[in-house]
Amino acid sequence: MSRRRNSTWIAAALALLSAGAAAGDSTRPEPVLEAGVRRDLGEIQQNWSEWLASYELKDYEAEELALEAILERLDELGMTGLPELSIAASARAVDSARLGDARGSARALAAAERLDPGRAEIAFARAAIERQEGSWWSFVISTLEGYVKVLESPLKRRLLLHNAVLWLLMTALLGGCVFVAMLMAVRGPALFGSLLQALRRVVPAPVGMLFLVVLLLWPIALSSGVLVIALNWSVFLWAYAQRSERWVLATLWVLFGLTPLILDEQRRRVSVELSPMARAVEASRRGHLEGRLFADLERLKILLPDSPAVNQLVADQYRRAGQCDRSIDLYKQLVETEPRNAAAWIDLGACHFLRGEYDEAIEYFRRGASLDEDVAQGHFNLSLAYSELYDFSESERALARAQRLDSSRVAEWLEESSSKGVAEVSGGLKRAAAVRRELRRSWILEDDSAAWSSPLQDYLSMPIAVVGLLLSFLAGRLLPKGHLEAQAPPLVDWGSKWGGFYRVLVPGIPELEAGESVRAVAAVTLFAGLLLIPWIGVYGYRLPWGFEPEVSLGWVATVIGIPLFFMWRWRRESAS
Amino acid sequence: MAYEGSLADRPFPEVLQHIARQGDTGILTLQGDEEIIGVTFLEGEVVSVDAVNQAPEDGLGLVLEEGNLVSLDDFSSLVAENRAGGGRVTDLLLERDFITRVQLLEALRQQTLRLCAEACSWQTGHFRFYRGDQVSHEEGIEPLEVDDLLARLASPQPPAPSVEPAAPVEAIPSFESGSLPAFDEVPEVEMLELESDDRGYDGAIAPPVESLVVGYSEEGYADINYPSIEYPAVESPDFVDEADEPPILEPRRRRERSWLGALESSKTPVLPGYLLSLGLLVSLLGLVLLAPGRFLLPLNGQDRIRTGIASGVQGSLYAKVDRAAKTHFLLRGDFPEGLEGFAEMRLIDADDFESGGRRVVYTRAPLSYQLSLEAQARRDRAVRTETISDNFLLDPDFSPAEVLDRPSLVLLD
Repeated sequence: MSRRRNSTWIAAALALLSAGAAAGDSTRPEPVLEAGVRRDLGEIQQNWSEWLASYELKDYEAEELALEAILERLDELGMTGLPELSIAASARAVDSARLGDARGSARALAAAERLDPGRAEIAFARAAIERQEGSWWSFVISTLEGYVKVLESPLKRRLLLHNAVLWLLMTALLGGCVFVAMLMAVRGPALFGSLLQALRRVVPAPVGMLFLVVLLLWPIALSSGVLVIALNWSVFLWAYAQRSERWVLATLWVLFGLTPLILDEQRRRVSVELSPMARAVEASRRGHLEGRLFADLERLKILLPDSPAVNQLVADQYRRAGQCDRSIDLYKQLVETEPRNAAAWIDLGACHFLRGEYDEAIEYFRRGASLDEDVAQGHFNLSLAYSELYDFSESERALARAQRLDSSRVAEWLEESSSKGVAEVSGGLKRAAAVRRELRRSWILEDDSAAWSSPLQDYLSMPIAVVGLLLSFLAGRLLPKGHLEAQAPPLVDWGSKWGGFYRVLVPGIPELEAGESVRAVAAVTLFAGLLLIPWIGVYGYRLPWGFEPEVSLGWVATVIGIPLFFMWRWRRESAS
Repeated sequence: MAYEGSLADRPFPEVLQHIARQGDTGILTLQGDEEIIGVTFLEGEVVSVDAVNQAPEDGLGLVLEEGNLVSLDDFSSLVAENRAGGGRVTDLLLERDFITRVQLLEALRQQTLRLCAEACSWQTGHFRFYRGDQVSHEEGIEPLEVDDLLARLASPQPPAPSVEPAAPVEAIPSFESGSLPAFDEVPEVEMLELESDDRGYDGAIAPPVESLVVGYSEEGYADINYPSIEYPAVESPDFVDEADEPPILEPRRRRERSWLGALESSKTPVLPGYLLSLGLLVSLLGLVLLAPGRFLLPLNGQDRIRTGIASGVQGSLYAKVDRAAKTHFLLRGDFPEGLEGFAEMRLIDADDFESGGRRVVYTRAPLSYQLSLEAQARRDRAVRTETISDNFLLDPDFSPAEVLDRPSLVLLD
């Protein structure tokens, strides 16, 4: 049954290939790919189809041959991994395991590992298979392994970091607001008692109370959100709060002021990091051959045509793939703008060397080596080029110079040179961070030129925070304190038989009633933080992994963290 | 066993006043750097104070020696007898006729004052109050009101008694070296009732202390002059502005817990604070769950950042769907008909069918697909279209010519 289904779609896929139809996007640049590179890429596609077909037919030999051919093409293109094919093979492995084909599943997983070693998705797929097999311990280990490997992917790591910032901000602000609410419950009598006492001199008590309510709830009229209400209360509560409580309130104001600044910066970074161009830069840097890598690099070139860093990166990528004409053009443009870029000169020489143009290669290698005496590649490549021209004495001199600079790497190059030719500097691939910065800058310029942009409004909370803090200080001095010591009776009888139980279960309130503000806010914030971890999975940035893990780490952290939190409180309570 | 905290945040006098106001019975323990002091309360009044690490000779023994009542040697021998199981030291003192009960009680009060004075000087430490129904204390001891205790602690010199004690006390010892006033030297004081409007805490117009205090004697109330009383002897909490606030240790009126106390408590409404607090908590919960962006960025002018964050989240979701779509295409040769096709293969989770509470709308074409969010589908900029073109893994344009010339492979079972 399954084979029939798979046969059908493979036939459909190949029919589609035959049809040659493609939905084109006229706005996208056509990658300028030489016939050789294009053929290598096409063969990868073809070999993948063959791998799938032989996998279905359980023709292990053909399957291995197809995989070998893919990896050979990958090597020829100077890359180290095919993430999309690796993810697809992982998904295929899980599919096979679901159909009871354990051997096929293992083969697909092994193929995934060869196509792009060390991917998190492979570990997640293995975990899914182990769960189906009932190997729970292995399932846990593989899931954890997957989550650790997620950190190896720069994009996912950055998105995780942005989520962590979002979570921290949310937790801190929520903890602060809950603290203000608790403070209102505990110090409310002091606030209302003192202010009503003062107001009673000028207005009747009900009017005074109404006035106070308006004073405390006016932000509702501006629909400015709960946070502003809490901040408004903090101004009044400041006068009746202890010193440590005032620190918490001041921190809340500071967070309120800084949050837009932090989030705006995050918004810019995320937009750039998720853009296809930035992802292509990252893939290129890591040697990952993504399906649209060359197209996206061309788009990057169009977006930042004058950027030397982009020029060098794209040139490096084409040179690595063996597309020398395009990379020579780009290197030549680059050395015109950056004549002291030794790496560019050396890599330009490498292109000529690969084309058998040794005289030009020697010229460029010498140029690069003279600009940066410490780059061993220049001297090593020079020795190779001289050697090709039978100038062995010059060749040996250049080799000796390279060995003096970096003997261990020269030994490595000598081993590789028989297969790969010259040693590359790949200075452009090292400029990936600079390219991302330029992308961010260009994005900001574009963003700021938008008509609806208004930084004054965006960052309004900063001056408001300053004014709020000043008002709090003033309130501390000016507000009447006739009932300063008035405190609400304990919400629960903490001394009763169940008092200890309540103390454990209600974080914050008992600490605040005992005057331990720092402990109170820490307890509330920690509790809120634990509750908010899964929230990030819903409202935070999604990690674009190709295979979904069976277990969400966020939920696990919350499910384990909350009982641990209460156990810790229970131990503390018991100890005291 | 609920009231606890740090002495740095809540100085000892405040703690005493708090327990006195509650009228609690129990033991307050104070953990200082080197000493642990236990203050025993009976219905909000102090009945005894003990220091855990203090040898009896350094506590009660010293007080009795300074009063020329019992020499330290005698006291030490009684302590030794006590340790050998010979009974309580205080009982031995009375049985051996070293002192009378009145003298013992007075000495205990002196010790109470000394230990409290010591505790007042602690800047750091931890306190905890253990409530109980009953506490043990020396028989015949007269509970000491916290306000009176604090007033006595606040007085650096023993004021000369201006009124005679209500009843003659036999063999009252003179505590010559004590820096604290003996209890019998200080008259019972009663605060005059004050109008809170002009003499309460709220005003910088707190009346002179002298006018607050009247002495009580057998003859009745009489004005007394207490010029030597200085407030406060202990540091006030940091948040109290000494310039415009009354001192914490201001002597309280004895009737405070009667009708005036009741009146004052009626002036400190508890309910509004509770209601506001509850309202804020409920609103917080709702906002965080339904519109977290509005919680983080509450001002109306911050729409740009809010929208930017939301579109970033949307972009990350689209990137995830895109990866899943490519995987599906690589395995099955087409894009799935619906998002469920991705979930079946566990390429994305069903939770990812929504972003910011809005459902993802997915539309498939043979070689492309479109993504948008509900209510965004009509806005061109909000719709993301992805095709297989330029993707060498999916785009048949990349296929070698010889493959395209070959007839389609048909697999038969």
